Amino acid sequence: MSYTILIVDDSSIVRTMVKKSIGMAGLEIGTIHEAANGKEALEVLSRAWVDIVFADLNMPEMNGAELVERMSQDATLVSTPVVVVSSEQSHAKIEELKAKGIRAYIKKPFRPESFREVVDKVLGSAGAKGGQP
Amino acid sequence: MTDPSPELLAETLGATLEEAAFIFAEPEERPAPFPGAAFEARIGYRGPASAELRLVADAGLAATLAANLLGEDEGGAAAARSADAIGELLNMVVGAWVVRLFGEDARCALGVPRVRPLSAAEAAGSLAGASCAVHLRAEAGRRIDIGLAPEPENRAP
Repeated sequence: MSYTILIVDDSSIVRTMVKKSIGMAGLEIGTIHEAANGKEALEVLSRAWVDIVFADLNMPEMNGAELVERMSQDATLVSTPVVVVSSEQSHAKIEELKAKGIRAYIKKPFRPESFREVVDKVLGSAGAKGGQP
Repeated sequence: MTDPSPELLAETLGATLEEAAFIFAEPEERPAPFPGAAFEARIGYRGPASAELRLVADAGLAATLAANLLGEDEGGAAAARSADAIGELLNMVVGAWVVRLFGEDARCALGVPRVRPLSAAEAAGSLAGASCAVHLRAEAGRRIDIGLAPEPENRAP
């Protein structure tokens, strides 16, 4: 079973770092989509099935919080797991995002091992749904 | 709330460099001039207090940062991503900085980093408007400076 991933970050270097970390997590990856902001992410999500989204918070055009909000309002996207990957460390902000439905939070700078733990937790619980339908 | 200080800036930048990229840097009171090209990054934040963090780094250090972030050898393709690496470094620094200043329960709006290349002469004066600044020296004597400046008017974080 291979997974389709969407990585959302305005930094291309971070998108590469996340790709490498996901690879090191042992996840069988089918396709990786990339987006530089929330708006581009929604465009990807409108045309492609995605099993999990890794998203930064502070991005131009549309930030990660707004992306999470828009996905929660869309019946086709509400159950797509979102993991936030951000330098934001405010407990209040993280709790607010969890209340909006994000499945996990990875703080920057991150270690590749963090992705293994999160992937096991998030896709493990959604395993019956995971992979291309 | 903690008062900003050069020591706190140095500690925050130093810890982030080490954790993110295994680069070790120490404060230096009388730094050598930037030998050549550099990068400047700026990022604003708004919280219990608002300001802009500015970072200026030797281009060689920026290339090392990019390589280390990507887990690649220095001198390779990673060098082309030096500006991006500096921007992301400052992004990570500001996240740690606002927690050190305001605590983990404070709400802050963090900006998006803006990066530009500088000549050595431009780099020397880049932190002139900073209320609080510190110079650090990394391996091979490469220089990285960080300072705190008032947030520019009419700029959302």
